[in-house]
Amino acid sequence: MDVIKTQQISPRPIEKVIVHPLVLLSIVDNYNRVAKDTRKRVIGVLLGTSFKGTVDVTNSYAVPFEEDEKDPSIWFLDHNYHESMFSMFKRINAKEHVVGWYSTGPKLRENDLDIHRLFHNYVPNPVLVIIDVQPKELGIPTKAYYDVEEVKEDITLVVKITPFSPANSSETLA
Amino acid sequence: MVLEATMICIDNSEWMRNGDYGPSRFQAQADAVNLICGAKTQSNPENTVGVLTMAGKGVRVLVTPTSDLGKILACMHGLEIGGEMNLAAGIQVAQLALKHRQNKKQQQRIIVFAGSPVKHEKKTLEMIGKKLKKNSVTLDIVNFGEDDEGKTEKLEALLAAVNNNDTSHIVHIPAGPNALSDILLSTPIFTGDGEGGSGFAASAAAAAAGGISGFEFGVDPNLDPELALALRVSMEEERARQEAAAKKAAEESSKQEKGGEEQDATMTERASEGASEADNKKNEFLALAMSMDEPASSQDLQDTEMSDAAAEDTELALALQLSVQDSAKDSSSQADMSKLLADQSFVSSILASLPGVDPNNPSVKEVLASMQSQSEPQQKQDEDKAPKEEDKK
Repeated sequence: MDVIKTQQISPRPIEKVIVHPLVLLSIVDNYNRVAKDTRKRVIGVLLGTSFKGTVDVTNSYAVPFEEDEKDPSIWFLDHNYHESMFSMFKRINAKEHVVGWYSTGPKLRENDLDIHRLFHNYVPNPVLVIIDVQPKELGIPTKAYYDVEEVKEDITLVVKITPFSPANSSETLA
Repeated sequence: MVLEATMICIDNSEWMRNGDYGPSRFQAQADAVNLICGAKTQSNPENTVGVLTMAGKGVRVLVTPTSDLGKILACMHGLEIGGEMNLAAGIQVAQLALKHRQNKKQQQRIIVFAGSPVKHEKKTLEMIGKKLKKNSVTLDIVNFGEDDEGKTEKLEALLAAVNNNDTSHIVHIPAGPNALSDILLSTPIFTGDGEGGSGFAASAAAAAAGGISGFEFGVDPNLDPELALALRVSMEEERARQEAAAKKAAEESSKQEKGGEEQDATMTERASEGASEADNKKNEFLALAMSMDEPASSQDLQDTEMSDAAAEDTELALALQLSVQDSAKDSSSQADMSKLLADQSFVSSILASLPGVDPNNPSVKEVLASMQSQSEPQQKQDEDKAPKEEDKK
């Protein structure tokens, strides 16, 4: 766990998320094989580097994930799989760290906040990227989110996921 | 040797701080979990076990089904107690985790430790049970700790909904001196996995429950001959000590009372000595002796305290009788024995009351004659001894 966590000593607020094409391709491919024409979604981990407030997502892999359709609070993500997979990826490219996770959505769901919390164990400020695998219109098929803690008037702590402003998320084509 | 993937659902709610089991309920639970993991992985090397906690912020999977025992034991460390247990969610997440097992041939099993009150409705639990049954998942429930209204009912209902051909079990464990894990060892949760439940479980059961395996003292002389020998020797010493104590009590009783009681007390020993001839008549003799004790106890004032002593003495007498049967060398009982044996008519009357023994049987007569002849030389010695001891007291 320590190896995974030492990437950022002081988390700098993220301003920009860049998603590389390999990531998009592998996510769509995985979705088409596994969950096409079903209401299930695919969840996976994003690997990359972050530098001066910009996150470069360069690699990804899916993880076994199950959720109960009727009860969104029942979900299971195989984190042992993720840890083993990540340690293997690290061997080929030590610079790639866990930067967040992705979901094929297509929209945010109720348990996304809980899953996001799980990823706090691996990276101080994880990024959630929703990939639209069946885009209806042209444009960037990704939407990036991060979580924010707010103290409301009645002194409760609220964590919510807020999007990056569209101008700040971009996609590069090689 | 069933190939199985197991998910263990641990209750780490606030109720687990209670100390009525072991060092604390949580500790007892952790020990039981370790035991189960060990047993499962030993019974079949391809078995996998996973662990999840049900209370706290929410259901959290600590380790997904794996056959690596070290990982499982490691994740049990540093668990925090708090919150309330969410049984339904726990079982459902366990089911999801089992769905993702690597080897689809493994049988799916969930073991739930239900230590705190169950706040779900019976219906909810039944629905979950039916879903489990549909997905052919078996469920074992360990009901311990809190016992509030309806908890047992709800759990039984859940079990009934899941149960398919008696593959699912429920175990109720009351608080007590025995450790949770020891009690679990003798339950179907352990013995139910395959024939004999593997060498691990069987030997652990023998060690813990002591005697279930059928060996004397619960230790297999083949496995540990020195321990078995040491236990046997200490048992003999204990018997010798008890017989010495019985002897002293018998002497004290003989010193204090008047005639009849001594006859009764010694008749107990007497009768039991005679029983050594016919071992299977032992119980009848004892009953006879005790019934003789009772009418005698109604006689006079001293008799009441005597009867107490005699009643206690029947315990000692039993121990005595056992030791006498083993060694057959108790000099004091022989001293008394010889007095009574002289009264052959008495002995034959006793033997006559036995259903199977015929006093006219030549072998029985022979034995009686030999006993009598044996007792005569002893009698002189013992009579010297007896007055001496009475002088001392």
